[in-house]
Amino acid sequence: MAKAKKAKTVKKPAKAPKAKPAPKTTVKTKPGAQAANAPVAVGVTSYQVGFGDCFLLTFDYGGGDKRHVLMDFGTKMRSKVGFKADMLGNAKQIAADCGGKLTMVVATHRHYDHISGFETKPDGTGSGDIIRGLKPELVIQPWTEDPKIAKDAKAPTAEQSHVASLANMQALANAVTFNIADVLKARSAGPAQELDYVGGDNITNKSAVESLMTMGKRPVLYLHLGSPLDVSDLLPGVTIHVFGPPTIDQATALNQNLLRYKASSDEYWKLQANVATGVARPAGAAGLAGRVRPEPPQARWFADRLRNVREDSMLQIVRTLDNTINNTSLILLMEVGDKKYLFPGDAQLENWSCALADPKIVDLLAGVNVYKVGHHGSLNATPISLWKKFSLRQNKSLRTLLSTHDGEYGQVPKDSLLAALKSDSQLLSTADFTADQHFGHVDI
Amino acid sequence: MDFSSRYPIRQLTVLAQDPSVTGPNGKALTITVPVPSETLAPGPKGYRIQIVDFDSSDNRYYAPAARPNEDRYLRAHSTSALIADRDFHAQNTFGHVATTLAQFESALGRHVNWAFESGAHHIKVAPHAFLDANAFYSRRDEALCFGYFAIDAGGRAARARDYVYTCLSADIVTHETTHAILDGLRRELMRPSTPDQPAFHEGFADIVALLSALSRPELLRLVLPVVHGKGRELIATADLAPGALRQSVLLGLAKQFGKTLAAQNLMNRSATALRRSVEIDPKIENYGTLKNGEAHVLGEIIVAALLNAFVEIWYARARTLDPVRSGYADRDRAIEDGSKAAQHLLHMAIRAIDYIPPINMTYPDYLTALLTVDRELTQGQRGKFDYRTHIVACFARYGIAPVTDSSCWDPPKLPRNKRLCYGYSGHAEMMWDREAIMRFLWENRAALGVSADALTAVNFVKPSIRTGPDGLLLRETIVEYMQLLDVTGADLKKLKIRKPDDMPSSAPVRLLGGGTLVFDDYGGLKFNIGSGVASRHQSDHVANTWRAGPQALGLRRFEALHRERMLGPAPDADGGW
Repeated sequence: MAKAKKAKTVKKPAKAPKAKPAPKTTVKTKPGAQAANAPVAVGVTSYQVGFGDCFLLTFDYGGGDKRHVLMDFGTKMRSKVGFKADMLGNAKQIAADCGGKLTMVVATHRHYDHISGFETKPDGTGSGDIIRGLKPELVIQPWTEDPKIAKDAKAPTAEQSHVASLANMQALANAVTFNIADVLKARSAGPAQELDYVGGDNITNKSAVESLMTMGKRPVLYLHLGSPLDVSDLLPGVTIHVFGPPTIDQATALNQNLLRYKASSDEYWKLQANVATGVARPAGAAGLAGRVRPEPPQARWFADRLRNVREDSMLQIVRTLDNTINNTSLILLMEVGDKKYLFPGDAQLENWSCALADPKIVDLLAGVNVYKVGHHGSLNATPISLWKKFSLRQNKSLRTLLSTHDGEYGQVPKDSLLAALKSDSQLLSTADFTADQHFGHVDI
Repeated sequence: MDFSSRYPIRQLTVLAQDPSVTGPNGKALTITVPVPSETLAPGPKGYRIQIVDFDSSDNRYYAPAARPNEDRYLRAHSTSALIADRDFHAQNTFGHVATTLAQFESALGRHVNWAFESGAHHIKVAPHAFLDANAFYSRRDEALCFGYFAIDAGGRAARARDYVYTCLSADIVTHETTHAILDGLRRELMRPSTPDQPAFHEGFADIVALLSALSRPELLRLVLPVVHGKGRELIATADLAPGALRQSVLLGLAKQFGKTLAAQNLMNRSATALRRSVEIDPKIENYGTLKNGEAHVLGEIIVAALLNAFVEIWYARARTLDPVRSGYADRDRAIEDGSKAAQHLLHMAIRAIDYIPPINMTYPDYLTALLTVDRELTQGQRGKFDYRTHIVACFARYGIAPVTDSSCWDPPKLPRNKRLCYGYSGHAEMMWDREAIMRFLWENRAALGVSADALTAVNFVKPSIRTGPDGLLLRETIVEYMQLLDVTGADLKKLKIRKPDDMPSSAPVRLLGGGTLVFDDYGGLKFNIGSGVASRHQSDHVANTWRAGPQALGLRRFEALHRERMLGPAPDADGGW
């Protein structure tokens, strides 16, 4: 494998769809048999999606045989920041960069900022339609997305009730996002906006979810910590370890802090979904007849407080569900020769903790060459114990990839983490892209 | 107003428990509760409580009934009629809040204040605050908020019976009201400190809710077994033994509460707490062996200990009902005894709040306070039914022992060669004047362990008056003072306080201390309960708060705490960054 020769190649921006790169004659529709045994080079392209993730991994088998893995494709931006990711442009760029063919698509979890790019349109003009057209051989997703688990939940297992809760959380998020425009309008800017934002990241994304389910040639693989994943026919010489998310049983067995990993009370989330979907109620709210009047003076102070209380409490609930869904992220470690690439999606501490409880996994992770910074640089998605183990920090030969947008979501990226990324690794951050830069590239 | 003809108390109709509990006639089981006799404004709004029917989920205000002084619910109503009646919701909520407040004031012999910074006299109560399975007290908003939520009706809930209204549950309203009153009595308890402190806030609120329910004969009558003989209703004395009462009354009521609404169990803390008070196994869940972080179990332990004491005291009283050992006792008398035992214990539990330290309180502190209350009132005698022995035994089962050898608070121990100086202020001022008390503390700081360096506040000086067994009044003055000292990890050594190993020297540490002073009728200091802000007792508190992490700082909010009961802790832990 080629040594890290170029730190960062920044291609020139392209407004119009890119011309196809050099013709790739060796891309095979049925890869496997004749391919070289292992990639000779690996590159990662990071696309400017604002607050979101989108990475294209390119495995170069020599002789023009390049195979591509798309790792997430989504964005979620506040409208007021004045930046809007060009998802259609990105999709076209991806199509050009992969030579019209994807070998594999990974959707780490179902948050909007990771899968919105997979949205299709009825008239076939969505960014997701372009990705569908790249005919991936295989799509992989976390176990929580498995539609089979949701069915037949008469005597639900822990896994089933978790999946049911995730669905209820999304129903709640849908309702909140709907609710916010209606009920909370003209409210104090801060909480209402965060509610809108976090709620919006959690809404169901039907066309994207369906497209992910059906775009691969092979059946989707739904994976959990320790799932065997053999891609030797698609990507010879590439080993993929699945280090998360744990199943509920795995997390229970490892005695992790379940209260924070799983949706601890499926009954609660069912109620919350009921509550939320009950927002559009007929007259006679709360099921009670009543005499609706304008707030009299003696009730105004309190009514105002109560509106704030309501907003705060919705925000807490939505934050909890946001974290729970982050923790459904796939954590993937790809090994190519002696090089390791770590892609943990938005996994937070609770998801990580199962993998990190295994010393063998920790040993493997210590030698990581490329680390995709978890959850856009938030404070609890890069366990500091793990960061300290990365041995390539010593001579700053660790490569880190960060896809984020400043000021989008509270303290993300976290200053102290960002400082460590800059001082101990070679960081490629989409936040540092120039205004007209659409992607950056790392070759290893 | 012709006040000469006015009684101080009047009766108001409320649900005995919740809509799921029906009486023998198949209608909603309602009772009347004593509330202050006052001229209500529409709301109802009295001089301490204001019901505001504002629903933040649909942003609507609902006008109250026009004639709040009229109790329209004295005759029996069907459950469904009451559930669908917004005005009844308001009256029910008002009634339970007001009667709980009245219980506290009656037990303490004085008015109690809310903890609101504005000094406002009204607590705002929203019976339909929002569509959510939550109910809580909020000091910041000066409010009790009761949510309501739909039982699974396919998202199309439209009728009253498709909803659970938390404001119709006596134990939820009493529980939240107790949080508010306890906060008014002891505001420092909301600060982060010992693990016992938040658990106590929850456990005590459960205790008040449960003992209030158990003091209502109508509810006991529902579950106590009956034998018919010679035109009288009897009960087998074997059915009054503690084990039998635990099964019939505690478990029986737990089954009654919320029996028709499975979804209600989510909110029905009392049913769970009652059940746990029987089922909790002291061998496994014991105060002495509990690890940190099991706060919910910690909250349940104190409930279990006190409710077990309740059934034993009840049995001790009921045994006297069958002097000839016929094996049977009059059932109504037995019920009356149970109700009295619950009422007596409730008042003891409330009075004990006057005898706890203001901050850093532990369960042993509370037990000691409880025993001191009884000793002071019985003037050292054991009393007819010997409440103290039963309480000590039941708490001991769960690993909770009094702090002192005498089981009660001892007179202040002064360092050698130190004496308390009185006389800077007269006795009269010492009964109401915070500055006079401050002078007493300042001049006696060495004797009382009061730090000269710390921020110091005398929070209150209050009279406590109660009737002793001789019919004469027992008068005391209760004072709470509190101290706060901001230091760093490095300063701890100088103060001889243990620094946790992983705490950096530069870490900011907030030390909290203070005490409850109890003065007797002659102005002499009877007790000084608490620990100094710079005392060595702080080592444990420092370790606790350090372990709990930065998110544990700041005042606790019940809204979030209650959600944590269902969802686990808020997900704001950092990854070390």
